[in-house]
Amino acid sequence: MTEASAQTRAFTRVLNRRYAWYTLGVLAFIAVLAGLEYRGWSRTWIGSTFLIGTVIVYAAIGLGARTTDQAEYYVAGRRVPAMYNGMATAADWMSAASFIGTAGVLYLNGFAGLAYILGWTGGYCLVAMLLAPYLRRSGYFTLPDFLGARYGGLAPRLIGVGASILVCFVYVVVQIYGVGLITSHLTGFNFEVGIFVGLGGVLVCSFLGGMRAVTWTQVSQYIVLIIAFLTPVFWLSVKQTGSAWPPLGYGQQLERIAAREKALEHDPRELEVRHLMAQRAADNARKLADVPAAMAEDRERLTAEVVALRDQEGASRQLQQAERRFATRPQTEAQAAERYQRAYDHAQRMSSPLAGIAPHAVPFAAGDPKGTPLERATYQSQRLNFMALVLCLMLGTAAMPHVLTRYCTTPSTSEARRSVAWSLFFIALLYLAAPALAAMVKYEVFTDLVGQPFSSLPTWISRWSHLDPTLVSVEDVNGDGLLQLSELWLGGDVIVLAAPEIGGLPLVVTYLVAAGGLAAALSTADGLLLTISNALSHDLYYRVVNPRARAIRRVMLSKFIVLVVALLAAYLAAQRTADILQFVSMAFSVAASAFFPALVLGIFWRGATRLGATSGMLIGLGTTLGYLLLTHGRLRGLFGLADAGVNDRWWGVDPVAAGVFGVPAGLLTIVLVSLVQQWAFRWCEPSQAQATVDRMRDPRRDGAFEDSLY
Amino acid sequence: MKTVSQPVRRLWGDPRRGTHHYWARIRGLTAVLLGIWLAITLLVPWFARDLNAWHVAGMPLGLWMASQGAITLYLGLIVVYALVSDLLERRLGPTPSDRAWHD
Repeated sequence: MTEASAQTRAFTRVLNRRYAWYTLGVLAFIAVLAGLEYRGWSRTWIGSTFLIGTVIVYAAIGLGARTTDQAEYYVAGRRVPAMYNGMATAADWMSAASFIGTAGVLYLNGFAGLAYILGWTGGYCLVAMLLAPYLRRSGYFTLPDFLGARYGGLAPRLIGVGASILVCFVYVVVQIYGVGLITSHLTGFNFEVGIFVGLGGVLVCSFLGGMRAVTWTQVSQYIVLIIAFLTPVFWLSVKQTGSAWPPLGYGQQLERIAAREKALEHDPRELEVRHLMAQRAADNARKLADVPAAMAEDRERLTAEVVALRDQEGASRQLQQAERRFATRPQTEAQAAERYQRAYDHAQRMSSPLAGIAPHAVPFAAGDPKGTPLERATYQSQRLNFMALVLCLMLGTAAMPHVLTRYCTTPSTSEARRSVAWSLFFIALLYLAAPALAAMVKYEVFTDLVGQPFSSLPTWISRWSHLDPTLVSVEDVNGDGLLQLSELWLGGDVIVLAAPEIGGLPLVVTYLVAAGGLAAALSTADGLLLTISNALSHDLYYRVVNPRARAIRRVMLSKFIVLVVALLAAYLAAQRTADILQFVSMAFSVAASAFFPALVLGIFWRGATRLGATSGMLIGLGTTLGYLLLTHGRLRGLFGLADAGVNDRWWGVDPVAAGVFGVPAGLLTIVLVSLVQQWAFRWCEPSQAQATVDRMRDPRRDGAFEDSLY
Repeated sequence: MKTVSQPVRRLWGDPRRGTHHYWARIRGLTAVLLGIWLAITLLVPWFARDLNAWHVAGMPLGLWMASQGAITLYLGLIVVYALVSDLLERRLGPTPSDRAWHD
């Protein structure tokens, strides 16, 4: 039977009604706040109402769905209809990085940013055809469990547990960083308080109700986040192009942007600023070469400034600033070197054409296939890296433990397959809109903002630069009183959050977008925390340490682990080391090389053996981590290694795309080791593993083994 | 479906031959669709610059393919896979896929 059963259909109707009311409620909430803004409510009030209102709703749904029943806690009772599972997966999938970061990367890197969009959507083809139906049919609910059943023995399961935790933990820290960033923007709390407020919202869900609560909150979070993302896109589209369908309308904006890019590149004021910035970069490079001497020089210069101002009448404000500069100058050599380095990087970036922003519509614009040998090489290398990154993100998508477990919650295998299609549909709604948003924000910045006098800059600039100067900063470098593009730094992470203000939309939209970003980060954090705690409580404790543990005890242990992991992640996020997209993309490479080969070969090749899978997972993981450690500057810093040169890279592949080496290494190892084992040692897989494979391939035995799991 | 002609049977598999045949069809379907997937994934970035010579909806074709066209095609592939494998499964006869709930 491939259609949904009567029960599923009845349940779907109940859900339709509930979520229709919920959506109306969200729209009414926004309308009421818009009315209150019109009546003159202050910005803090609107922001706090958005934050508290949405978090309370998620918490209430989580509370209403609390459970200690095992099937409910781990797989939401296996009755989530395809469409709703698709929505929940979309929310689970679209993290703070997708919501906040993607349009920002497109704004800064132009075509190169589309690698994320392609990778994060195309990966669902692999999920749909290679994994989801088989995982659902096998009836297991975590990846380590599946590996353990297919290959037998402890090793594949334990490596699976380790890799799940590594991947999900890196990813969850980034989500919580996103939560902190958004709550501090939304309410003006400081960053650390923001993290802990958001954390409360996450915990109520995954702590009380496991997968069941997480599923139904994720559906409601998806509704909030998609309304939040599409509202400014449609609004800006109507405002700028008159077209109500942004993906079609922004073509004309691209032409205008291209024309404006050309004009700005040769603008005399821009050239003047870039020249000054190049000088500043050279100055900082000199300081970096001899840090102690530069520190002494700085001390003298700052002292001289203070002394000079002290003699002046009526300069008390400048005097205060000079004294503060003197007091906050770096005290140790390491601090000073870091500051010079940062100043050097900034100046270097600002001295390049268009403030380092890539031309929007030209693929691989830094190079030229018909140019000089150097340009040709740059073109080839950019194109290669683009494709490597796309492949890594796709393979990583097909190996993310928290997403794959979502397909174990559907009522049947057929529903699991449909559910993947729904997931990609709901995800595509956002990813089709992101490039349009990036283009329209860029148009707004390039044509309206650039060239304005400093005295009349919009207020969002000062507010954001006050909140975090690494995200937004302006400085009148050439002293002409006008803002040049090379004097404005916009970090990728603010593009979406500040888009409504950049486009001049009402305040309510700004806070709606922030609430959407919060929903995206919270929903992903929920799913990840649950995956980590299940890996520890179910796969490690129950399957390995104490197989006779009672169900209720396992659920309680899982809840306790959620709490500990969440606090640990919050602590790490509060250190503010995350550079959102960088670390997320690294997690994809790691997940891909650990899981993808062993999962896919385990399903499609009867001959894959336990030894093969174990060594393949270890070698794949080792290759990726090794390559990251060899080439990634920040990561080397964490382990106290010297920064690596570009020459250490294999074929010039960026560290982000380390998975393109890890996955083939893993696949090859599994095949070779398994073949050698079979031919040289006449090894035959135990009948249990064979039975697992047969069961996954046979639709007539759908779910026949599920009950033995509980 | 009483009289299924020979080519159709070759394409869809013979229900009388059971799971083994079903699995062969599913594998074939997966191979074909993933082949298309791989072609899109590799060709769109590789020829992005050359495709930009044409325009669609006011946008250069290379950019349009990478930002909209490829995503739509991916979605199409998944829908085709879901529908065709449902059909193949139905030909096998009833499956216990829609199980009773746990409560």
